[in-house]
Amino acid sequence: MSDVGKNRDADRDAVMLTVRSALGKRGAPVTPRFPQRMPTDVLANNQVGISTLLLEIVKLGGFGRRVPDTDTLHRLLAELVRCEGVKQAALWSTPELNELSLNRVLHELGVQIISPGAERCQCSTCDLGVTGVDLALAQTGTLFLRTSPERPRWISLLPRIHLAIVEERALRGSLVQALAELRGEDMVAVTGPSRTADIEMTLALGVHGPSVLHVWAIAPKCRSSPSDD
Amino acid sequence: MSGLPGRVDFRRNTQCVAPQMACAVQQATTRFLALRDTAVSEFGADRWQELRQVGHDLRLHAIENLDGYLELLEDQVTRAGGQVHWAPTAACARQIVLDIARRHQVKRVVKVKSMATEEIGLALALESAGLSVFETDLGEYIVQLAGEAPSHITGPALHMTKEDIAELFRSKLGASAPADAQLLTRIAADRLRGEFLAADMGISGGNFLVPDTGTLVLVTNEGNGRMCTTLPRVFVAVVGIDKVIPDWESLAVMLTLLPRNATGQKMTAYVSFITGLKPVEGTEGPAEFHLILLDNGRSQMLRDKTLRETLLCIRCGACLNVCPVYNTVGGHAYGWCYSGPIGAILSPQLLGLHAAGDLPFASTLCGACNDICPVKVPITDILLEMRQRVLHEPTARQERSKSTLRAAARVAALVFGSPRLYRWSAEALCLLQAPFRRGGWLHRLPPPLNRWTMARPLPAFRTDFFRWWRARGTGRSQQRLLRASLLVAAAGLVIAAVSSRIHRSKRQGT
Ligand code: SF4
Repeated sequence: MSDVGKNRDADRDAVMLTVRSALGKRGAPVTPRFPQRMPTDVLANNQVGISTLLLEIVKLGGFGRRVPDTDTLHRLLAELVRCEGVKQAALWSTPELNELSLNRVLHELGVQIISPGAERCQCSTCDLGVTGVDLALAQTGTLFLRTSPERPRWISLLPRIHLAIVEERALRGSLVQALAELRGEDMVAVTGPSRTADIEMTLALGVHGPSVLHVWAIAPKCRSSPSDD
Repeated sequence: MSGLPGRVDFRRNTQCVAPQMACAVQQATTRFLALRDTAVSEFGADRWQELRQVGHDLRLHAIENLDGYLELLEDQVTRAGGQVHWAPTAACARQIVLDIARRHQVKRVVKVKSMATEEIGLALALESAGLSVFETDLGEYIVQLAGEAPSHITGPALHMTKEDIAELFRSKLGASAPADAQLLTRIAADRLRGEFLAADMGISGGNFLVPDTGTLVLVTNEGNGRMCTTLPRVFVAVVGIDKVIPDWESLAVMLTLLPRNATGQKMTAYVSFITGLKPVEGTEGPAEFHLILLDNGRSQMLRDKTLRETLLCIRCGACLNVCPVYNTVGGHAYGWCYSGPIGAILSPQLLGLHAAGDLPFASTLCGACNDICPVKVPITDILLEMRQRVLHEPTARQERSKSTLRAAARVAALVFGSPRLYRWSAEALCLLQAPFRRGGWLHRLPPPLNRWTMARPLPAFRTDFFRWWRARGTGRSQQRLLRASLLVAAAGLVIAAVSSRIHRSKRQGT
């Protein structure tokens, strides 16, 4: 092991030395800074509405819906389960998502809930993955999903169907702004269903990731008035 | 798939190109370009140009301060829980990956398409060490099955038709399916899902490295990049040291430029931001993240101010799509994983002029690549600089400039240098062409010039310009002047062509 370490240091020094001599650098390396020359208007956009987001999702081959209240949310979920023949589902366990009591609805519909920490083979056969959305960009139809113990990566990747629940307050005006807020996070940005055009440039949806993406924009009311319990 | 090539003989390679190649390639590149144009005009052409300049500036800044950024990157990746390795050469990089694989008793590897791993011939090295390696990018999986090399940076299998692929799946996978893109994709994806679940190690490249947080950014459409960071126990990323960008704001700029320019998408389906890749408790995410920083000749490229701009490239593949040479010969003729204009400037610098000195000449210098490049790599300037170098490099020159060629060039210089000689030889050519001339055309020329007339007739050498030459002092209309100068240029081309054909036929004879 120590030998490996020694090699690594020697290799590192070799690379650094050539880089520095090639650039004509002398003295201790300084941490550089790119002068802020970003034309902010270049990256800004004004279309921040939920409808733009949903429209983009549809253009990308996904499904977008507005959900006004909890009852509609539960009804839509039941419809989705029935239409797509969902047998197994997995959900993020964030407080925001738990609050919507989707777990209970799925359970009542006879859907088996896979725990986020399940064996990977079991994850792979799961039909539906339900996630929240940390931030969203309307203009490109992009959803940012952070990774954490309550938000395992696989839930938005392995199931055939990905259902993302987004709220208006997650929308940001520009990519710069979204990335500034999420700086340094371990995360993924999802823009539409998984896709390829590797065969004769013909678009095919659903390669390794989900082939179906549903984005439901829930109104604040869904939270404020939980239907029962 | 591709290992290190020997000497790249571009001309010989172009002769092996299948006739249907150009057709398939052009279909694909035309589509790429149409999608790109829509995306750019939707973004706004002026804003786009402004953004390209920012993209260029920030990439150049990163490359010129590479030492500081690399140091910061190493610190931050380590702090976030990743392990950083340095690979001065391709062999070192392969060794590091093999060592990691051995330490974890890895048997099955899944790989995401990446130019860096192609460059070091990683798949081949792992396979010969007894590991099974699966390319998981659909296009790459197809060319791996077919035992071919990828032919485009962003579309490795674009030279194959869906019938080819259906046949390939039938013979290699025993899966019979109609030639339908959606069905074939499904078959491949199902196979690969099994491989992902069984894999011990995932390998990818990387599109950007953000030093201040130690984040690796991976841009994919199919989701295989995400699979590699979700399922296997060990995740290894092999990334060139040139992939560094200054900060997260720069990342926003690059993520705006790259997808639009590459495939005309506003954003690729998945962008993974990998910061240390901490294992998520309770799930079987990777327990280790290794980042291999690959030099392999890049640091040497920093020496020259013009040539270092080659390193700005973000591998969007757009310069391939617009290149008239690439569109005619396809990717394989370039002899290595990098093809098209970027291959013509990058391969000779990475492999050496003696190995790839042909490539800078595989260009018409039309400059379309400069105009489409999202980070404004001055490709034609670099091509010209590389051509100079090839002529001054003894080993490369031996190959390229035979004494006959040099003699022909000298004669041409003499003829072009003196108006009288020029006029005489033009007149001589007019006389010489007389037996072959039918109206305004030369339908058939004798060997060795006959290759020029095999596919189409050549316009006959015109004599009108003599009249212009005599009258040029008397002041005619501008239009006439323009037409006449065009004729002179055409005459020059014919002379050059003749002298080069003579040389070529001699070379073939010996
Ligand atoms: S040189 Fe420019 S256009 Fe060509 S692949 Fe690189 S970034 Fe794209």
